[in-house]
Amino acid sequence: MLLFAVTAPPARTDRQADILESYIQSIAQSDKESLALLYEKTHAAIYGFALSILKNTQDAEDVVHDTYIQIWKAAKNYKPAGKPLAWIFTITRNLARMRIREQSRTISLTPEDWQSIFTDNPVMDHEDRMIMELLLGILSDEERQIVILHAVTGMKHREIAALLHLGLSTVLSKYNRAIKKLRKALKEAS
Amino acid sequence: MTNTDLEQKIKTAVEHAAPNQLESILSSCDEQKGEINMTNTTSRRKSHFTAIAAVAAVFLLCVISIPVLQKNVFSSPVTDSVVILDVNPSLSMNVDAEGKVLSAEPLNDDAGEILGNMELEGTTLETAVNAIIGSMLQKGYLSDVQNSILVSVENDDAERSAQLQEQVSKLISSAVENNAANNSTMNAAVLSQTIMDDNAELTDLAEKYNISPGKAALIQEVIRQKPEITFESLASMTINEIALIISSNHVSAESVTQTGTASDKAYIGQEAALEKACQHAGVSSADILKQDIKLDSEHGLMVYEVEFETNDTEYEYEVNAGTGEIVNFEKENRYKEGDSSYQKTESDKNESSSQQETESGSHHDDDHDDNEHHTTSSVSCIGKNAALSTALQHAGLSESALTEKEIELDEEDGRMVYNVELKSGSKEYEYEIDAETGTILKSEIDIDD
Repeated sequence: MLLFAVTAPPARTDRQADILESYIQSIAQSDKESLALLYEKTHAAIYGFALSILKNTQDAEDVVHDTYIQIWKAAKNYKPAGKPLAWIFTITRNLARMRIREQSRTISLTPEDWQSIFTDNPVMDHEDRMIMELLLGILSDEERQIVILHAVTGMKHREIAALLHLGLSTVLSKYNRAIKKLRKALKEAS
Repeated sequence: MTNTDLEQKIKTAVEHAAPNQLESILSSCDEQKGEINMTNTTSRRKSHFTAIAAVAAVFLLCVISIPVLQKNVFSSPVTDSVVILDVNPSLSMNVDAEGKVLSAEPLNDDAGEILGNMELEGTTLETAVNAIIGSMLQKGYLSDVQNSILVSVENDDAERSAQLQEQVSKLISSAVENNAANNSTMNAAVLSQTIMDDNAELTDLAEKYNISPGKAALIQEVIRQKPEITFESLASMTINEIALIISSNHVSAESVTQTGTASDKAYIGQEAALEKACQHAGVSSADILKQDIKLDSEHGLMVYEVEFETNDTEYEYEVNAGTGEIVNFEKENRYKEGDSSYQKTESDKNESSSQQETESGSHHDDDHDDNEHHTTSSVSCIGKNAALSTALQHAGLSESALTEKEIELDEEDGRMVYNVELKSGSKEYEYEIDAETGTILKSEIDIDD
């Protein structure tokens, strides 16, 4: 799965949006190969976003699964507007919120839980685990969503603001505050 | 560590944390394939809830049936179908095989007002529908500007259900025509559908949002096709509003039959919405190359989503559908010239975003990507290059001596500033520079050891 990691954030261009849209259009024709390609390009970001809302790895996994099923079913209704990621993340967010409502409680995990979950993951190294624990441990929900969206997808703050229904200045200041917190905590930890 | 480094680390960590689920997704798609033409969405999770479904269905039936049994215990009538009417008032009627009304229950407060002291038990459907529609018209729930009604029939027999659906729809249409005597032009838009009484998902949703199972089924059908719309945002809307969103978004709800057209007379109309947006943007309609206008709900408010493009700019507006007020707007200049400090043409962007219709709020931009240069529309910034030279001058460095540099536009205490981070050898410089005046507000030098 690492082979298909999304390319570095600054490289995300309109061309990439075009590529994602072409996948969605093929998915609308029931093309599973395109769904696989879309998955490869987007699943890390969707997982990160779902996890940042739900703070529970099992729930996040389920929501990722359901997001792709929804994309599969609804692709034919997607209207290309150059914002495929916004469309996808809106689906993810709706599913995540529905899940929170269904359970009417979020099973928030403790730092110890995180540690053991991430230690069980052979792909993650020490630094990965530390960063995930900090993201989940010291950031507020919104800060976490903003930072993960920005870092993993390369979405612009303006796009993140629109997706999260927040003002641009709010997103900017939360982003900066979160990055400062993370940097400080990483410095202290190392 | 620069922000870019940190972001790269975050990205890697998340990528490593994300499990590989592709296979299970692809195999679920195969399951979905067979179901795709069904009118009821069946989530893969539904099976987990079948037990609850049965219990919930029985419970629902009990609640509705108890009064029937008490009142008609001697004539032992049997509920054949349940007919639910939604406008904004929502009510449910139990009907026997001959089409007699056994009971009528309000499902919300508005319906309580409609039913009042009406005694519908034992009347024919025609009489009941006439009385209900008459009361809705009189109390203003149905009118020239709000003319949509949803009919949902619960009956396991599809044929009987379809027949009832048609019968009730016709009764409603003629009741509206007959009762709206002073307004002979008024027509009803009737949406009708069959729902299953054992659908736990619907029961859950109906209970959660305090709406009828019929309305829940309609919303579910819309969302199935437009997953970017939330259940929440539609739950608070009237059937007329939902019907307008359906037609405006070209949702083809296969399971829903519609006769008549939902009234949009309460709204200013697409043309007027476009005009308002153009006026605000200072664009003449002759310059518009492409446009797309549709009705949408934004946090429960009906808005026109107006998108249009001129030669060099893309605009996106949300216009309050009732008042024509601009709720939100965004514009993007793709090919802006005249910024001499930058040679870039293609990636230059001029963006502005505002939550309110006023332009007094701070306009500023996200400037994270080094390949892009952003300017603001109401505040003129000195630009990244100028901020960099100011910092270099202060530090006594030349650009070639830098091993790292990072310049970001940010908002600090309500004013726009450039955060400039420079690294040269073992020294780290951090500056905060006023984006408008170029004054250095803060400087910090760190020696890394």
